[in-house]
Amino acid sequence: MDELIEKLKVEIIEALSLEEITPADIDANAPLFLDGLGLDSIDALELIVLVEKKYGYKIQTAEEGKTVLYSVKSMAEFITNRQKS
Amino acid sequence: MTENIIISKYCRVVNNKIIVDGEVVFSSDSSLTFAEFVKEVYKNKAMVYPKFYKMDNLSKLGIIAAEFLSDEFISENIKGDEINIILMNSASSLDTDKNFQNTIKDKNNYFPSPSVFVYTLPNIVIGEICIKHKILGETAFFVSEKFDSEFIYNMVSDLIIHQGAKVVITGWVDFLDNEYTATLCVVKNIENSNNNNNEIAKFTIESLRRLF
Repeated sequence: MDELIEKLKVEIIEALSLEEITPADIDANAPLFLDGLGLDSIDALELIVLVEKKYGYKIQTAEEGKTVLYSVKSMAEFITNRQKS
Repeated sequence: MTENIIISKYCRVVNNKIIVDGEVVFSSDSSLTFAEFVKEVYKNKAMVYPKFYKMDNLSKLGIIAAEFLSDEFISENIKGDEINIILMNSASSLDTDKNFQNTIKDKNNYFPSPSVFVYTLPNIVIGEICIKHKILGETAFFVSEKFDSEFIYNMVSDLIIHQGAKVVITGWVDFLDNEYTATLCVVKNIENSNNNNNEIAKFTIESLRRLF
């Protein structure tokens, strides 16, 4: 899981052009869409594309999106759970 | 009625150089890509605006040009809704349109990018300048093979004389395949202002032709 979290951090920085952010700056447990990274609704869509493109898993509903995209850790848990099933 | 309308400042961005009122104020190695060049400008200008990195090339170009003019339109005497922006180019948003197409052209790798898609209109550059500088006035973006001095003159004059604009930021912002040119100028109505105005030229069709 830790390895996936670190991989996701790098992918998020690249996908969202977060030039001034390093993986170390991202707290895996912190909410992605509040103060932390200052992400917006377009970033949310880009993260949905990232999960599908890199890992092949679709986030099906807005509600699921809220849960999955809450933090880097929740994204990693979603991917890990899908990989197990 | 146009005798009180002046071009108070202009900025040209071309060949990895930034020229303000005829003077080169920043230059980078001409071998740098546009992305590398604007990153240097961003750091040199000490801009604190992370959203800049998410923008498409056309918006970055416009934002950079406007940044070097901002002291001419950010003033406690000028309200956001008294500033208008009228821009023009020839390539529209084609550079970004092509980038977006790259995300959808392969049926087996079909992942349309939302963050690229939102820039597939040329007037988004105006929106980005407005957001950064809290500009709330009229805006328009026109696509034309060449800069149309007469058209811009008539439009800007009307905005100032009849629509109450104090300042119009106008010019050319064009980007395609790493080739780019931006020339923005600040046009001001100095009728009720003090005499401390920087003046490059009276606002005329001829002065626009010389500038563009």
